[in-house]
Amino acid sequence: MFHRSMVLSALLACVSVSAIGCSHVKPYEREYMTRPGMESESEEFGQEFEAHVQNSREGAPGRGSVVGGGCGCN
Amino acid sequence: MRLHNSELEQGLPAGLRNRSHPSLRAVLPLLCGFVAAFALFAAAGIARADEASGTWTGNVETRGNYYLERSTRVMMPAVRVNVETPNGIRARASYVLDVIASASIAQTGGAKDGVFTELRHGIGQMALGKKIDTGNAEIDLAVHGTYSTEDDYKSLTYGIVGSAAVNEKNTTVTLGVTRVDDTVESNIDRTFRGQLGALSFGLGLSQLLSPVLKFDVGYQLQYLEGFLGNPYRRALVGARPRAGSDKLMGGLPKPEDPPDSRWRHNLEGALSWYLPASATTFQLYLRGYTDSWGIQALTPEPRVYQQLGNNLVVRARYRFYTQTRADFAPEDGQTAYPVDYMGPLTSDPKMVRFQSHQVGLRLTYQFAFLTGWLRGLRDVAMDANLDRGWTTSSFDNYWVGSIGGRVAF
Repeated sequence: MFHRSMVLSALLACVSVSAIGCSHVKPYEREYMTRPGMESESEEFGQEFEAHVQNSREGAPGRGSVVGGGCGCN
Repeated sequence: MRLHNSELEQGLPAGLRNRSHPSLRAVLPLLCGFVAAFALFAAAGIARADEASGTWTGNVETRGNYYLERSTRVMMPAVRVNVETPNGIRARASYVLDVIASASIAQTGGAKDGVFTELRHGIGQMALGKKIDTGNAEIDLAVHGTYSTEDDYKSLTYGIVGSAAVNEKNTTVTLGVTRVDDTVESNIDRTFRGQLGALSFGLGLSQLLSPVLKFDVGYQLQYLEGFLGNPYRRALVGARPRAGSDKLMGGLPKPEDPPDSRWRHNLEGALSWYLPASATTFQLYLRGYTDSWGIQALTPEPRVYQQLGNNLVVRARYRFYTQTRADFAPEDGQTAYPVDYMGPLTSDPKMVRFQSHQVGLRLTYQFAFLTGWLRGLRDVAMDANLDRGWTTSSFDNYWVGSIGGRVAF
């Protein structure tokens, strides 16, 4: 299951890379990119605590986090 | 350094388990301080907005985070300030206080049970960046650093991040390097002193696929070296099969001794799709992880964001996490090592095979309807978040909650 998922992730990454240059969303068409869920900045601060919790409970580091800081996550 | 009580209780008599939670009175002043700080910063934000000439922008965020399992509570009030100058210089500073209240024998040397409250200060999570806009492209460079301290753990994290928005800003590529220097000590053995160093390299790509579709992908490579264990944990070595069973029993406790280096690979992606007709965003997040200790993990996480009226947003999500066992962890179903085992040692519950499920709900409310003398609060957003998790590991099922506020100026 894991290897299949890694292959799927890699394929999605390739699709994304191949999409570069194929799509041109004009600045005036980007209104929806500021809607909840389309931007990540507003949730970033809250996710730090969640990553902190995940680091202390799970073998893989949490979303976008770096191990360290004394959270028992070595 | 925190050690979850659930991993300690495995070897405890029943009478020492399920102790009552420590009183929250010790942390109530912190809560009051959190509320007062938010009121203060909100007032400051309003004042700044009134006198602003339209040149400086930014926001102040405060959060009260809460984690609860059977025998451990964590409260983490936090505050963060973001400022951006007219010429594109960004500055960020934050402070985090980690209050861990746990019923545990860990910090008393195992001689007696005890309730302890531990504080961790995350000081000066500073970041300084600069945006350079060339019309069709934008370059963003930033440095960051964090110092956190508690009585038996010191950590210094610092790094540099750069991003470039190209292709008429449809594509953003991000590169980052982060260094971690930690010092680990023990409240039981004052002569113990361990060093942990880590170097992390990250590559990210964000691509607009259409006016309502966005794709993000990221890869992180991390190398850790030094003391990668926990000075309080003990692994049972020399256990023998119980009569009529494969379960290993007995053994002598020895200090945890994992390998002193670790390579970690993390690949993650997210697809976000907005439906204008219903003001709904669907997001699918997927993460794959593997490391040199033999752990492989997978995390799919679908999310739905729904705008309700002009001011309320509801977010619902489900998160699944599964991982394999580290090569040197006790075999599946065992909590001890056999007599003939000679390899690295661990009793870390994070090193075994397990799965967890988590569901969560988040409400965000914007006070955009305010008028008159309260008009200055129109840029205030409050949110409340509650998650429930179930796990098959020896960690207990848990609750995670938070309340936060953001004032823009």
